[in-house]
Amino acid sequence: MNIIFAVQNNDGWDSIISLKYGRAKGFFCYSQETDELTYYSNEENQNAGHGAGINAAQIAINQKASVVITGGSMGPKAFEVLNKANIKMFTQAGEVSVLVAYSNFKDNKYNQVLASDK
Amino acid sequence: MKNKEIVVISGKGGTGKTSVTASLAFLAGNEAVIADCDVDAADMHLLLMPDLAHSEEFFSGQTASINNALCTNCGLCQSICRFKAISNSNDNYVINKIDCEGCGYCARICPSGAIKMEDSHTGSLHISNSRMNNTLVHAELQIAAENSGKLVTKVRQEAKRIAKETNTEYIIIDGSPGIGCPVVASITGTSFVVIVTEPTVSGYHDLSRISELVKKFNIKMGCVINKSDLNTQLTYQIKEFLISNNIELLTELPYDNVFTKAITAGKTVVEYATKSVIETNLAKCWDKIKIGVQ
Amino acid sequence: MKIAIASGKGGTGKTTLSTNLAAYISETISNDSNGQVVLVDLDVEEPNSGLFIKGDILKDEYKYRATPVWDSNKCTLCGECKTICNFNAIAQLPNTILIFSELCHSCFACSELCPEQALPMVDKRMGVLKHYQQAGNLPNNDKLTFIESRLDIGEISAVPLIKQTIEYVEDNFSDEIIKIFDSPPGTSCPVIETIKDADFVILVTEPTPFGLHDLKLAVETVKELGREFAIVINRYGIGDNGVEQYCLENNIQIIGKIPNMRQAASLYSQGELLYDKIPAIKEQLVLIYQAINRINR
Ligand code: SF4
Ligand code: SF4
Repeated sequence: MNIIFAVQNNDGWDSIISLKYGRAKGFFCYSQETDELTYYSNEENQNAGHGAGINAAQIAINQKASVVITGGSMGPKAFEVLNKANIKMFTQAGEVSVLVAYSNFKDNKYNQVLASDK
Repeated sequence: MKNKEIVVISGKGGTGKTSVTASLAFLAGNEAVIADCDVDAADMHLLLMPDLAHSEEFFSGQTASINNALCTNCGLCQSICRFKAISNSNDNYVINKIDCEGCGYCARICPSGAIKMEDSHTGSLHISNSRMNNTLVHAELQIAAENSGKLVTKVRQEAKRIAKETNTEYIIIDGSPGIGCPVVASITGTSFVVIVTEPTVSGYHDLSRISELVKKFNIKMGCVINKSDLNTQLTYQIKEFLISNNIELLTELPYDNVFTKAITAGKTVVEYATKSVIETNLAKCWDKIKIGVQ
Repeated sequence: MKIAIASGKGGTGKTTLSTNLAAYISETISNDSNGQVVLVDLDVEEPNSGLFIKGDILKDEYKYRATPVWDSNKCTLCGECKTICNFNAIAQLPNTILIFSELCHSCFACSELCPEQALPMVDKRMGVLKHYQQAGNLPNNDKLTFIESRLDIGEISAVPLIKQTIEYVEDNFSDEIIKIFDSPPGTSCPVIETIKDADFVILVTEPTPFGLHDLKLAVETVKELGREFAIVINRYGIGDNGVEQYCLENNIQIIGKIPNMRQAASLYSQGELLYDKIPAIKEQLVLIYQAINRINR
């Protein structure tokens, strides 16, 4: 299974989770099968006028993710795209490290988001 | 400490929103970081006299440009552009930057690769120390640039970062006008919305539209009725409206030329009209907001 | 003749001037059998000229713009459209193409470049245009026509609706008829759309440092567009003489000074026109109309 973490900086497992999804600085994709953690920059997207969430959701889809984790929110458009693509969303991580978020997720500490914030 | 973001909005302009926000900024002093998100008419700096300590350029969207050395005058771009942004003068194809939407269609199909898409400069962002002993984050939008809400988001992000770093409790935001994208960007995720209204037909109309929008975000609201003695009957109706919509009445301010006089003197109205009812009411208003936001 | 009434910031009295000027002109041309004046509210996000000008509705029509729809039978999921769209309006899911029409700028690129013709462009509603006749709160006034457009909530850009409203006005009224455009506030795209083809732009401002600051941006904008323009100062008498000083230094004509009066604010608050009740304001409208006629000639 591939898991996407929205992050504020590019510092491997120590990167801090981003509160936002569409305008996160970048994403880490963790593959449980290969145990690889890969960074995808979202900086170009941070400059998009509108629709940053859609583009960010596209990154998760392209990486064949099953799960997306953010620190605080998920916009309506990103929600719609991820939901249609059957990707599960978790938004309660807060500003913790990717490592902490991953272990919390494995321990079932987060609830799946079933509706967008707006 | 969790920062509390307080945003002041009004729907249409002219209700005294900036005067109220600047007064709150003065009353708050170093308890708050100030963010001017009214980027179309960023006027707060005229009262807060910032020093522009730090500035950066801001880009958003794209515009096309044609390299005439590569262009073979085939005219394909002109025929597909839905925005009539491409014209031909003296056998040279040129792009009218004002009409170009930045869709990139022409650049994609140009057979000789003569069209490039360039990021367009849409504004500048400044971080300043104001004369009120607080930090002001403000921005100005380039002429003819689209206010997409992105610059607004950026201003808020910077204000929040500074508030965190300096351990400042409040962030006071002068919100964008209207009910479109920029205002949505200025209110999402805030802790308290202050609506400045006036007892005019259009003021009341805007109050109902804007409060409906805020309701969707589930944020606490308070209202300042400015020029409340201008039309007592409408003021009464506005108060009824506030009660039935569960919006706190923060204060009422009289119709008074002193607002304009203060601006002319480069001061906030609380500094200019000391010991007046306006000063007392605004001070009470700030106290109520501080309680409301807890 | 198209006259755009604009201002750098909101709340300077743009709507007050537009509505009063239109009503005043309609009254002065009442003896001219061919005379006509059209007031157009192009502040489509929040039109409110209609609060001051009433009339009988003549036409009420939806306005549309084209956006793509996905034809799943033809699509091969090649992904071209997603790469093409510069506005993030298209997302590609494993088995679906998802289109966010509110983000679409109607550029037609995806539709015309899709190798399978799987994205036909279809009209989508963006707002309503209303056309009123015999407008004006004056009895038997058949000289004033009022048109307003209102953008649907959730639509992101006002520009296509403004464009179509201007086209509607041009199709229905001949060139010599005076048309007054009440523009949106600011200096961004919707304002540009309103003033870029105007024959004359009137910038309304207030004699305060705020007014001056925003006026300078507005002046820069009209200059960039190469439009002829002049200034009207609203709430004249309050504040300082910074605006006048600036106009003098830059050789900009001031064609009207509407006095600051509590009575005006109070009538405005009730949704009333001013010129028929306050002679000092009517005097200024006479001057402004004279200036317009000088340009028109
Ligand atoms: S370009 Fe056409 S065929 Fe290719 S994915 Fe898009 S709609 Fe489908
Ligand atoms: S028409 Fe243009 S803007 Fe609209 S979806 Fe297609 S490519 Fe995007």
